[in-house]
Amino acid sequence: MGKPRRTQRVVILLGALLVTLALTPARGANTFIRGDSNVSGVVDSSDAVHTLSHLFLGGLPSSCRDAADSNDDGSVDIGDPVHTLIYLFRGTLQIPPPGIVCGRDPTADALGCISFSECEQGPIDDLAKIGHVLSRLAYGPTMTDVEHILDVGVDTYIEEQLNPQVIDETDNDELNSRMSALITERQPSTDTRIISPNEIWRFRKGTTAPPTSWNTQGFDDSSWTPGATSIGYGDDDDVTVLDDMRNNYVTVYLRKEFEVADPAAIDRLFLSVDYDDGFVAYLNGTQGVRENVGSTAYNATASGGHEAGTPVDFDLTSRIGLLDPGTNVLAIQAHNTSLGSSDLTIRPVLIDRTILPGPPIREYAGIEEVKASQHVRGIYSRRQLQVVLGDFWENHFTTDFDKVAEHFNELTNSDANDAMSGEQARREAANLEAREYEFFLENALGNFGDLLRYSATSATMLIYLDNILNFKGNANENYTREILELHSYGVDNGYVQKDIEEAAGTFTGWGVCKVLPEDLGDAHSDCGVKFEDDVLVDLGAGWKYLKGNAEPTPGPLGVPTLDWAAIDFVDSAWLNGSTGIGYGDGDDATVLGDMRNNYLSVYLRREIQIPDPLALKNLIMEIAYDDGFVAYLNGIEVARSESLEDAGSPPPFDEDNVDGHEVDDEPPEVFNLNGFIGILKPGKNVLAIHMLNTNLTSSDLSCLPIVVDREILPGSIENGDPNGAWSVHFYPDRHDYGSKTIFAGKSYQLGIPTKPEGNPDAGYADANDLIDLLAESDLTAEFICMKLIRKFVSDEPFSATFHQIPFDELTPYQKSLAELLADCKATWRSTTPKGNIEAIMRNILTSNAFFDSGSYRSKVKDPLEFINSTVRALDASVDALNFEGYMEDMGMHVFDRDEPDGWPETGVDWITTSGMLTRIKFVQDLNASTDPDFMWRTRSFLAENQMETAGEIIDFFNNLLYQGSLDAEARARLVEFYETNDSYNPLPFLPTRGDYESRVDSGVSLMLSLPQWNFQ
Amino acid sequence: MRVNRRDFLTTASGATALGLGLNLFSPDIFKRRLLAEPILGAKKLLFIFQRGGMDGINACIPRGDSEYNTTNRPTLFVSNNAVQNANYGGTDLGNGFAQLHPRMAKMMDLYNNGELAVLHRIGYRGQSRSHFDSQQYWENGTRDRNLEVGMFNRFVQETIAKQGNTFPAAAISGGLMVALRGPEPIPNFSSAPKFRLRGTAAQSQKFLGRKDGDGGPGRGLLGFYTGTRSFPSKPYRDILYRTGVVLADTMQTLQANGIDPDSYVPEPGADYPGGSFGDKLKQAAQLFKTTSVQILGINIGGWDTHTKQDKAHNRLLYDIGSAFSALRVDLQDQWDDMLVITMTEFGRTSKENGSLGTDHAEAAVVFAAGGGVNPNQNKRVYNCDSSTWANGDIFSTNNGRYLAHRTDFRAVMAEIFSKHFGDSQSVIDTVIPTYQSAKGEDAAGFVPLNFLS
Repeated sequence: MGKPRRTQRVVILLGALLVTLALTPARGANTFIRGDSNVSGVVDSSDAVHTLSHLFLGGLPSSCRDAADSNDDGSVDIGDPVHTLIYLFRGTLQIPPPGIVCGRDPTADALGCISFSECEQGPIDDLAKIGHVLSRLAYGPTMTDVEHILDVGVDTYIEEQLNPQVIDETDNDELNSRMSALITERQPSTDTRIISPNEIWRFRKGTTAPPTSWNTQGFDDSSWTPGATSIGYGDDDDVTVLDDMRNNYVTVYLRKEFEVADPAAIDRLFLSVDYDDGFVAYLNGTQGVRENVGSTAYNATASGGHEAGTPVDFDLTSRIGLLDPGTNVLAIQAHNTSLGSSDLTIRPVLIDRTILPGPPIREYAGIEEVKASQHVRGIYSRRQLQVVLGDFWENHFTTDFDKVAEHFNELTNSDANDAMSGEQARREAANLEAREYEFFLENALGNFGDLLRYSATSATMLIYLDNILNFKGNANENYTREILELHSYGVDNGYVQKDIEEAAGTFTGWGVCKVLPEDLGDAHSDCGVKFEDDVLVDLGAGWKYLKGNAEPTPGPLGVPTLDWAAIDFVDSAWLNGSTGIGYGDGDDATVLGDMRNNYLSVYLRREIQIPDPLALKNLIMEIAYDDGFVAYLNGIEVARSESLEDAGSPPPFDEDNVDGHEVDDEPPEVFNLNGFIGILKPGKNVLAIHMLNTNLTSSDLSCLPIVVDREILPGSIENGDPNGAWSVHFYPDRHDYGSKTIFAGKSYQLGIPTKPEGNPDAGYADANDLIDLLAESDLTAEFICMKLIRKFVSDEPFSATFHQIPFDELTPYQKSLAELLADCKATWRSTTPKGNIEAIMRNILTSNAFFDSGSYRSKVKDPLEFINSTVRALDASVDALNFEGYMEDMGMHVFDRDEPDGWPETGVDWITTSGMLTRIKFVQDLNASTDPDFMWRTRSFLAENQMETAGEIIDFFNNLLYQGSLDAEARARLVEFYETNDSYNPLPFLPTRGDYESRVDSGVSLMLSLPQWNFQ
Repeated sequence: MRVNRRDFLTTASGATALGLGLNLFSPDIFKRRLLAEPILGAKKLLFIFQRGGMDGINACIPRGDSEYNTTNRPTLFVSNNAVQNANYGGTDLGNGFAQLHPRMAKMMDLYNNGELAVLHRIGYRGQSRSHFDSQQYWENGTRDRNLEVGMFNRFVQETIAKQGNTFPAAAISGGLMVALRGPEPIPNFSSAPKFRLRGTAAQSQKFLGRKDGDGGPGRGLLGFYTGTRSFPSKPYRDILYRTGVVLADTMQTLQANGIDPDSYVPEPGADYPGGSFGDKLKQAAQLFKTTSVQILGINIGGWDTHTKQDKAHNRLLYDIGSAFSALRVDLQDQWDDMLVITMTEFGRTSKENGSLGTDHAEAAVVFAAGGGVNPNQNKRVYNCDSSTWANGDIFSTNNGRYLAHRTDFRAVMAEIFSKHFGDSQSVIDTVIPTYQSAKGEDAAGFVPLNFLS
């Protein structure tokens, strides 16, 4: 005889369990105190009043009709309050069994007991166990899991879940296909730029046709204009701006000569172009790429539109043969869509790309995919406990994606240009969040210390809680406070403010750096970018300056002009000076002793000799300043401080709209001036700087500029390098090597001696020693065990409860929780290393407290649990990419919580009207949707589970979701809902009707909107 | 043109509720509508919780303390020139000591009219510098981080709900703040127009059904939420059932009154801040005008300024100033009964940190405005004058790192409950369970400020 079909079998098994239960209508903890109609825990006259009020005044019936049946005659009537009153006041009648103590009804009758909280102690029954286990270890019951537990038993299921590696996911098609849809794969590669962005090209405006040989090697382009890329106008994204292009010409011709020693040594050749709108590219005169271009006439518009922002890679590997050893030329004609177009951009980069061996890089396109992956795993993975715990740790060590992305977006490369686009910043931050989350998942049942160490050294955490800003002498306590308060000991548990201040010193020097993937996690790897600077202007002599008592070169009516900054301005009357110039903070070579209270401005000029501007690699100005400056090259503004954002152009000598800025605030600001190479002359040029103070009484002013020509050397990992990996990095010169005493006077005091300055290993050990101490501490054991018990067993055991209430005064259920906490702490101490999560979880999941009726359905689902359990209950097909909005409306935007304390575990936090409304809407939308990536397959689900009538559907979900606990009243209300129209008038509910499916959806929506579905 | 309230209600119930077929609860709709109308003479409170800990020293500048200087606050220091600058309105508070940040100039009209009180150095003994804990304390009115019952929830329970107000309070917020959490279910929503179920009016009416006993046995969703609680009594059962009912009632109230920040026309001259903060303020004003609501809460985030505080903080201060100014104009007819206050979990370090920001500290600043503010011309700034603030007090606690509190936040709240709402000391002792014990430990901190008349 073969095994029955899956669904039949489940129905049979569930049915068998329910048959047993049907004999005693009271479900679950079906014990009660007879006579206690109002479920107060005692039998008194108010019970008689309660029943009388129900019988004669329309009051609510007792939630335990067995209890109201004081005389145990099988019905609730006037005889019951009379019986109770006689018992109470005459004592001539007794209360039939179980009497006035908790017990079961020995008499078979039609009455039931839905709720009797006073008696709800002791283990729950088998059906409840299945529902309970699947609601806590897993994201809610599915038919498949219920069947599996019926097969192997609850104990085996728990043991399997504690050892996720034994659960095979290779044939889990829904999980695997949904996950792979969220992930793209990319082969790692290294790029060597043959032509970099911001290099100087020669360009010619397309006002007429050039000679046909314009794109060949031999062509003489010396009469063309030099300019750095990107070249174009509009959108504020161009270095060389063609401000006469609009309405005048639609194409631009560009040429760039480059050297290749040995073309055969190039692995793959890529042209990466950021463009708007079309272009044709030629290698040594032969066309290589043509995008959005029909005719190549000088006056031909692009054949289609394209917006710049994300460079597109074009593979020219098949064209490597066009290259010669020695000098080659890349020539490009860029086309605009129309004369009146609002913008044009062309920024070509030529790349020699070496594809590296090794596994492909798995990447999420963005944070939306990472968020979806959390749901996909939660819904479809068979390793449910691992996912539930992984989500728990992710929340415990929460970080904010937005802050990380914003940080990346503000970075620059060593050439002072933006390191990456906003899109790349968000993608890198998202993948870092994913990397962190996946570590927590993989180690969800591992050792707590590994999780704590991972979190401390994770780039996202270092950025999120400002540990990257934690410097010697300028400590930032943000992370230090939270590792104690939120990650290990718990708030105010065993430490004081002084400990945080001392501990913050151990973390000074911690930061992040982009490194080669193989160096990930090595805090001492060589992560600096290598470059060579040819210094054009150093600190020191050679400056002329003028005190700003008045405009140096006033125009008509005294308005400021820039004549003083021009190349040929005669500055012989100005004073001689050396940088730094200023007063007040000891960093000045030329001290302006009379500036305070007298004048706001200083004007500076310095000659720079540049024999061949076109030979410059990267023209860079670094400047430390106080409070504001505007810099000019040959009379053209090339840079200004943010503190002068709101000031005039040019600012007048008495400009009063200057924000404060200190030399020590930040590293010197760095400006890439390649865009201005075109205004440089061979030979003499002039750098002019206008310094401004924030007010006359300011205590200081400083100006410390240098100018260099920077060559970035190959082999460096820049901030924007997509092949690099963000790693923890220890900056030895930012570390405080002094002695520290943390937890002074405590049994777990940690004394760190003074260490030799500049010893990276010794300095990095400071905080690692602290983390090791925290990871194994008894205080951590208590805090983490408490959190796990709150997550998996009950919200009730707050630390305060057990610290403040003597054990004897706890209820029996609270005692079982207190005992569980003590057991968990003992388990924590017993493993090697301490804090093995699998052992602690085994402890929790096999405890009496876990299976106590006090725990059963006592916790409110958070939004993640609600959504995942709803999809699982319906076995719905989802890609989870549209869940973000619902999660946010329910108040839980995972991966971008601002606060570091994680989403709360206590039920009351999630019971709000807006949250409840969104829950109902999610259920309704999922039921109604016909999108294959967000739908419940109503008909096939009904067929598979062999149901059709309202009663069958109601019974199925009553058993699956509510362990059969919906009573006859609830059932009748649901039947009424199914079998009526919108006005509650009878309407046949038949599979043959066109409205059948939508009415099933609507009815199931109602069943998933019941109060009970918010509990687990 | 102003819309007369009676006209507006007629329009709302006629055109919106009936005309568009949204009479979810008819025939009871008119009965309920009347209940939801503003209650004449009922006192109202709007609290704005500044999440993250506002830098009070930057908001109400203690110019008279010489330690407020560029050495301690290199990038955050606001020069006296900027404060006195008439172009920005001039924000000197006139007591020779305290000044508002220039970006809060819009509040100065209220201040000069005697309708704004500035309360400095508000905190409590044993100040927590944890966001979570200190917010809990400020919101639940005790020093118990685990208490999930908010002060205003208890207040509603004790007073307003007992007086039969069916829509006593709400949070205009995606999440329900602790201050309003508790056994009395209080609704929350961030956007009233989106606060409705899926489907046509008829479909959502069927889905909602009716309450048990409301013309027959309960039906649909409301049938389940008002019928027998066929589910064991566990800690959150009853609040969840009741929240479901409040959800349905609130949807009806919002729809019937046409609450919608996009179509709302405030009084001329009421210039609300932009963005979601402004939208929430507009909904608050509309609710105060058209419903019986008495307590509303709004959150505004972004105050945790550890790094690069200057510009971000300026924008936030500007929004707060705009909020008070706009509410004053828009709620002029309600102003005698209104009180608008700010709350925040702590102030920030008096010394700027190395990241151009400030870190968690102690005493905070509270702004309070309304018709009941004590108009005393000499003293509308509290705890920030030469008699209450010794030179150097900005470093008066924790080894000279922080500004010490002078007045306990519970004393401020107690004054609101007693003077604004007219409640007895026994109500205060219930609403603020630790009032008496904390007062016993810190008598000076509980001396009433008398910022309300």
